[in-house]
Amino acid sequence: MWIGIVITILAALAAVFAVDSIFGSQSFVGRLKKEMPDWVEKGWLEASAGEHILASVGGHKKRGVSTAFAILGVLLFGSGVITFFASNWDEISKLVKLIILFVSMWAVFAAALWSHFRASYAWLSEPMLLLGVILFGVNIMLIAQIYHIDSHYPDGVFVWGLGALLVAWLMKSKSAFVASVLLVLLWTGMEAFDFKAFHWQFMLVWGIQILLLIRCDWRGMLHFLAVSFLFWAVSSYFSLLQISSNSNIVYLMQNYFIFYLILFLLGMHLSLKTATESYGEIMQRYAAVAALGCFYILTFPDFLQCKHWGAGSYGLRSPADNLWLWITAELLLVLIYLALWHRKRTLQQHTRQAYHIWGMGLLGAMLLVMLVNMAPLDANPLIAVMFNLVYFSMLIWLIFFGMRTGNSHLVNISFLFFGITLLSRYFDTFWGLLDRSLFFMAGGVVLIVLGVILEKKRRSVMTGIADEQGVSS
Amino acid sequence: MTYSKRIIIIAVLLTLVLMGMVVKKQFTLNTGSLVVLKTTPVDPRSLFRGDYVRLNYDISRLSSVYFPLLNELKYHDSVFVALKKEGVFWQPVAVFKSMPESSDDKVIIEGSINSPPAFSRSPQVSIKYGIENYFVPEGEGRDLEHLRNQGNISMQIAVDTFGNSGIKAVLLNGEPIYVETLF
Repeated sequence: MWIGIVITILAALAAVFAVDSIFGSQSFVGRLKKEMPDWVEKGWLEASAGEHILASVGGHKKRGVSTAFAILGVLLFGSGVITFFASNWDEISKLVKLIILFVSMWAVFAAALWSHFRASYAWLSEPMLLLGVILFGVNIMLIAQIYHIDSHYPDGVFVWGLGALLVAWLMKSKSAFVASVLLVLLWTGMEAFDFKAFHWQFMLVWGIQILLLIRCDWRGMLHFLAVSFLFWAVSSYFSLLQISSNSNIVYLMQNYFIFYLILFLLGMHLSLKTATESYGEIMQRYAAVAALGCFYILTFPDFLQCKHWGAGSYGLRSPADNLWLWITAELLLVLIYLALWHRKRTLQQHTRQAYHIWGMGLLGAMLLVMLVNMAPLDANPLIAVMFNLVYFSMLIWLIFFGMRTGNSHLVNISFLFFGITLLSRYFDTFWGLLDRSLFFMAGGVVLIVLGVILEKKRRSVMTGIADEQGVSS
Repeated sequence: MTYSKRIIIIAVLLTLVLMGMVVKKQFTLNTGSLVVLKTTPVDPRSLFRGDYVRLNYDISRLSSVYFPLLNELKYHDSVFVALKKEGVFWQPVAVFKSMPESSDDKVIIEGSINSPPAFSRSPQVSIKYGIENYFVPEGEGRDLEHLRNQGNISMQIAVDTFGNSGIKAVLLNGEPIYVETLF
């Protein structure tokens, strides 16, 4: 298991850095080459300075490729080290084993230091830091093996993740940062799925990772942290259900949805300032996916009535108790405060648009339908209809919002959910009504037609966004 | 702070963490009282972790009928079990929520509740002591399993004054077949 984990992490890191350093720098150099003559013509830049810049960036590209290969080398070397020790382990005394472990880790960090101060080997420093992080983890495992330590095994991964975070923090090492994100993710996954614990401790480490990301301005890394947060949120959903009754599955999902809406609004706030705009856009993207995912589940009548998950038969879902009302009310207050604050800021900046006003109306409708759902009413199919109406309104609003703000990702996300939901409704409606062969044939036709229509619409919206961006620039 | 200083801080801190693991266990093995526990090895092989013996001890399952205090404990709670030598093996004689006063004829070992009575719906309470894994040289797991079926495998455990424990030796019919030494 351990070797598998190590190799998976290494492979992920190598892939990330290979793609980032090769394609990332290539596209950057390409864009510079394209734009540079225009800048020289406008007099913003001397022709000779332009040549120097291109030569320098081209050099970075070469080093980027070297780093990618060095990391792949680290992958192979690390695997070799593990295999060597595994096959010779029994022949070595305990003290010698310990000396080998410590000396090898120190040697790798010394190599990182040595290469950093030599211009022609500076590219080796980053892979050596990553190898140091890997050896630290390997040492934890091997010491546990030498002393037959049988403790709470996620703790070992946690300590390893903290070590990676320490390296990332002090050396500003991106590869160590990615390693820490993956290891902390593994740690929380073990705690949630193997030990069924609501693992709030994850958020403490995640908070430190966010601080480091802001400190180093690693915007691209926000994707990693967003995905790890969503993974934690999903695993926590199941952990929270363990300490709650089945019918609360609906109220918990509603609270998750409100929470993601809060994150979306925070993203909108960040987008109001140029310095934080790119953070805001990424945040909106992931919050939109998560919020739509939650609300999509809430559009299913069977889910709303708890016909699944062993909660009982139709209509037996109990109304929300005071705890859920209290939590929901708290989250709603935060949401309303953020919405009103956003309104105030956009009014002050004179950037308030029609979609903001429609958004407020939609927010009201969402809150209303969720509060009605919590009331002690008999299970009513109308609730599901209301959820569906609000859901499709959300999708339309998000497409509109994405078009107006030039956020093509939000448009794509909305179309994706549109397609998935229409297909789901088709399955819901016709599965029991049609003959199986007819069902699949008709389903195939629906899928093709739907795909063509949605893709056509999506392309026309994207062209509109591209045109608007062209005009504005 | 310079690059050199930062890298030295990293190397020192990571080494301290690893040394902490080593020193804690080595302290237990060097200073601990030795007790012999009766075991029942199970599941001796894992494809991904090499050969190792999974160990169950007589003291791994205690009855809350004999030790009512166990009913008050929850999952992951610490428990201190007093062991007293009866014949060859050491047997549990009392349980405590915190470390009791030491006595000459008893050794206190710390464990954590693995399945409380409320969880298992039986009076048997499962306790883990952190000595349930024993790694054996590659290829010897099956041999040990075979030996287990023939005779009595027992474990010599070192228990320090804080209740921490570590495996000192594997005994077959009372004779050591694997001994843990630093050199």
